[in-house]
Order: sequence, then C-alpha cells, then structure tokens
Amino acid sequence: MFKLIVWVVSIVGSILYFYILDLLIMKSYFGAALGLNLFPK
Amino acid sequence: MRKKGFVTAVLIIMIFLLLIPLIPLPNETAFAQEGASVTSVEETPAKATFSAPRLKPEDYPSLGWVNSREAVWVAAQLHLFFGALVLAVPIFVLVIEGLGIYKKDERYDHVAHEIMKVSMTAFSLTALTGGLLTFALVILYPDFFKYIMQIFQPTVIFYVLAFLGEAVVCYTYYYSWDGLRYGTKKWIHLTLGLLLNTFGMSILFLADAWTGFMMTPVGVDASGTPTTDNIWVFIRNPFWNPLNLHRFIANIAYGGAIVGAYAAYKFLSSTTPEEKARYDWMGYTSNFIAISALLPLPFAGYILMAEIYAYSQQMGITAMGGIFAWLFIVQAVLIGVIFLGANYYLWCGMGKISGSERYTPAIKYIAAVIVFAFLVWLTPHTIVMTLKEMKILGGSHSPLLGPLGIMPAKNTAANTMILFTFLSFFLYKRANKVSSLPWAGSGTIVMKAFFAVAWANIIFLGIYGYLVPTAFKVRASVPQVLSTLSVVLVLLVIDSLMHRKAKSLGPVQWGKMSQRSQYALFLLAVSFTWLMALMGYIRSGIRQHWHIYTVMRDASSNAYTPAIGHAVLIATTATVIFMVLVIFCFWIAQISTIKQKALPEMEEASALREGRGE
Repeated sequence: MFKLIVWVVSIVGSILYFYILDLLIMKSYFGAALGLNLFPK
Repeated sequence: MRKKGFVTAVLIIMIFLLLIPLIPLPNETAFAQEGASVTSVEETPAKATFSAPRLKPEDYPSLGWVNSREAVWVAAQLHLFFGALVLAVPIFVLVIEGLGIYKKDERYDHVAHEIMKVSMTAFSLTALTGGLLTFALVILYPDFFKYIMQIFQPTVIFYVLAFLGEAVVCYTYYYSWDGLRYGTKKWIHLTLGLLLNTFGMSILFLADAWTGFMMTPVGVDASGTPTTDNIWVFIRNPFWNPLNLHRFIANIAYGGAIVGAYAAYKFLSSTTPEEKARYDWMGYTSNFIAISALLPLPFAGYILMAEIYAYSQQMGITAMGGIFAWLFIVQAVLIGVIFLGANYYLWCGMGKISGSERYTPAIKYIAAVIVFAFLVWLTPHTIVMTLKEMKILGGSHSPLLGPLGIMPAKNTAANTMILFTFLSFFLYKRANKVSSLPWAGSGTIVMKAFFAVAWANIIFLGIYGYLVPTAFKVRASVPQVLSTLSVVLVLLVIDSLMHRKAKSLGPVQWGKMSQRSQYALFLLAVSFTWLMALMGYIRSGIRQHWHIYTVMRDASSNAYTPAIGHAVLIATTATVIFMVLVIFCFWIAQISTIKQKALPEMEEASALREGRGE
C-alpha cells in the first residue's frame, strides 16, 4: 500500500512540476495569463 | 574535511573563471537586425576611412593547378581540428589534475600527464597548420586578408601575445609536472594549468570574433567602411557568443573523443593486465568527459542557429531549408552513430562491474528507444524523387513519414536520445552499489516516476508543436530542453543522497573489457572529426558568395556553393589527413617510452670503467 502511495504521489508531483515548468516558459515568452493557453490561434 | 572543501571550492572557482568570457554582456549589438551592415552603437563618427574592396576575378592570384578555395578550406579545417584538440586538452587535464588532488588518487595525475604528452606534438602541428592557413590567405586572398586585418588590427597583437603565452606556459606546465607534484607546489602547477587555459581561451575567442564578423558583420556600412572606432563593436558581433559557447563545449567533447581513441589504441597494444587496466580507465574517463560535453551541445547549436535566423532569415533558411539541409541529415546520422557508439561502449563496460547484471535486461529497451529516435532524427522532410516515384507517393512529401521531417519531431528525438544516453551513464554509475538507507526504495520510485513523466512531457511538447503556429512550435523546444536537464539534475541529486553510505557489490575490474568495445572509441573519434568538418562547411558555406556577408563580395571563380558530394569529399580529405597526423602524434608519444637496450660492447666498456674506479 505504501509503495502504491509513493508511486501515485511521485507521478502527481512530477506532472505538477512539468506542468508549472511548461506554464512558466510559455508565460515568459508570450505573456499568457496563468492558465496555459494550450492551443493559441 | 575543511581542506577537502577548500580544494573543491577552488577547483569550482577555477572552472567558472574559464566560463566568464561566455557570459553575455548587455549591449545593443546583441540584437541583430535583418540586413547586415548595421551598427547600433551611437558614437562619434569613425576616423577610419577605408572600405571593403570591390574585387574582380583577376584580383585573385592563382597558383595554377591549386584550387584557392579548397586549399584554404583544407588548411583552415586542419588548423581548426588541431586547435580544438589543443584547446580542449588543457581544460580537462586541469579538471582531471584537480580531481586527482580532491580524490587523492594518483591515477588521475598519471592520466592527465600522459594526455598532455600526447597533445605536445599536436601543439606544434596546430602552429604549423595555422602558419599554412595564414600563408594561403595572404597569397590567395590578399585583399580580403588585408581588409579583415584592418578591421581587427588592435586584436592581432593580443592574438600574437596570447599565442606566445600559450607556448611558454604550455611547455612549462608539461615539463614541470614531476617537479611540482605535491603540496603547495601542486597548486602552483594547477595555476599554470589555469593560465594555459586562459591563453587558450583568449586565442579561441579572438579567432571567433573574426569568424563571427565574416558571418554577421556589424559596425560597418554597406560599403564596409567602419562606422565606429570602437573595436568592441566588431568583436561582439551577434555570432560571437553563440560561437564561443558552441566551440567551447564542442572542443571538450572533441578532445575527450580523441584522447579516448588514444586510450583505445594503447589498450589494444597493451600486453600486461596493469597496462590494460590503466588504459581502460583512461578510455572510460575520456569517454565520460566527451559524452558529458556532447549532451548539452545540441542546445548550444540551437542557440547558434537561432542567432543566425535572428540576424538574417535568408541565411538561416539557406542552412536549414536549402541545399545545406541535406547535410543536416548526414549530421543526424553521424550524431546518431556517436550516441549509439557511446552507449555501446558503456553497455560493454557494464560487464566488468559486479551487480550490473541487475540492469542488463534494461539495455535492450534503451537500445530500441535510441535506435527509434535515431531513425526519426534522420528522416528527411522531402527527398529527391523522379516523377514516377512522386506519383506513387502521392506528392513530394511522404504522408506517413513527412511529419517526422520537421523540427518538433527532431527536437523530441534529440531530447529522447540525450535522456536515454544519460540513463545508460546513470545505470553504469550505480551498477555496483546498493543503498542501505531505509528510503532507498521510495527514492527509486520517485526517480522512475520523474523520468517517465519528463519523457512524456517531451513527447507531449513534440506533438503540441504540430498543433500550434510556428512561433509556439519553436518555443516549445525550450521546456523540452529544460525537462531533459531537470531529469539529469534531479536523478543525480537523489542518487547521490541515496548512495551516501552505499554497500559495494564488488570493485570495478578495470581492464576486463572486450576488444571490440575499444573500436567504439575509434568510431567516436572519427565521427566527431567528420561531423566537425561537415558542420564547419555548413557554417562557413551559408555565407554563399560573400567573404563578409553582405559587405565584401567574393568575386573569384570559386564563389559558388559546391555540390554536396564535392563538399563532402573535401571535408573527408581534411578528416583523413587529420587522422593520419593524429596517429603520428600517438606514435610519437609511444616511441618516447621505448628505450633501446645497450649493446654488449658498451656494457663491457662500462663494467671495465667501473672496475678501474673511473
């Protein structure tokens, strides 16, 4: 059970980390509002 | 412990000192503009009145059967090969020497000394090829040479002084090795090494300023007349820092590859287990340095290309979308070979580490991913086809493979290859260790999850690139790179914490390495050299019919872009000549260790003299 929790926490934590990383880069380049503007026209 | 910390701190400071010239300074000239002949620094009018000569074909001297362009090309390429080697060697010799002090391991010191020995002949050959290049330029392109020397006149004296300093310090550094071996004297020796690197880097950066000016000139008007007396404007042209950065990193990778080939040569010719162990270790260390420098190199190349595009879109498109684009496919093949070769060497090396069998099953998956990424990287966007072939395909682009020919796919493939090559290194590094900490299991899960999500993010950003406008597509490569770097950083930190009090599963059996693994090191050296020659041609060739882009036109009969086949032939000729000369350097280093046995009559005469008490 403990192992499963570690897996879930690690995956969720990593996804959050990379989400914020992508978000910050896109924001710094394009001044997009917080909330990743994933598919700009 | 305090002393250890002090040594580490000094070493880190020394390495960072070398990087100072790479730090970009705030200067308006960094923002290049389309149309080359611009200066963005407002100053008093320049005193210089000369301008770039407008040449005619008859202004170029001819040496009959010698093709001027190809003569200069080969001379410049050979000088660059040797220059790269002799500038790179002192950098990692200094690092290895410092590591020897830090780890109190004399093996590092011996290896550093031996590497310097190999490069001593290369120093002479660098000067020789440099002289050859200068003569070729003075004789075959006198007007161009005169103009560029007029522009960069104040820097030439510094170049000469740096060259003299390099020669003096290089010989002092090498010949004082045993005299300044321990204690405070060793620090004096390290300082000499640092000084040697300072001179070396100064030479590189000055030469880069000249080359950069030929690519992206600033500070002159359309006729080539300087609009400023400030030499710094010419030096700090838009191409300068990207070129400094790219060459600095590439030189380390290149030096590592050549020294790795030397270690392989010595390993294969060794007869005793001690020698085999020593050269196996040297080969591993060199390969480690070469690949560590290779991993960030594509990113530096990316910056360089971005600067070319920023300066002149036309020049960028000529490189990436015109005739030169096909050479980037050759580049992809060579880089793929380098990555596969480096990984293969590591996988072979894992055989000598007890405990590595835990990771053996993973190798086939790593190999599969790297091969797949390699295939994506070398897929061209369009290929040369007959009308019949086009009809069969349904157009000039393959509907299935065409999308793999553009940058999002290439960036994803490059990052994937880097990520999985790092994984090979990572597994090699921890192969014989078992952590005894209670959280080791959780730490491993965190690393696995982080790696997997990072790779998923890289693939997501790659696919994302197809769905958004070009500007977003290009920018998406930045978080891709940061994802790769995050993995390297996070995994190394967690792993080093995990293995602080690790249990060893047995020593690394240096020397227990297959013969064929050594050929991977030769492959790396040849691939690196060839790659440099081909990419160097692209970098220089995209100026097309200009000596100095948009400022000084090349009016000679050689001012055309050669066919790819011909260009590759010249680049390959330079590569083969260099390889022959490098083997000569290895051989010289080898024969310096051979001592002929005294003749019997000489021994008898000595014995008689000793008997008489003379």
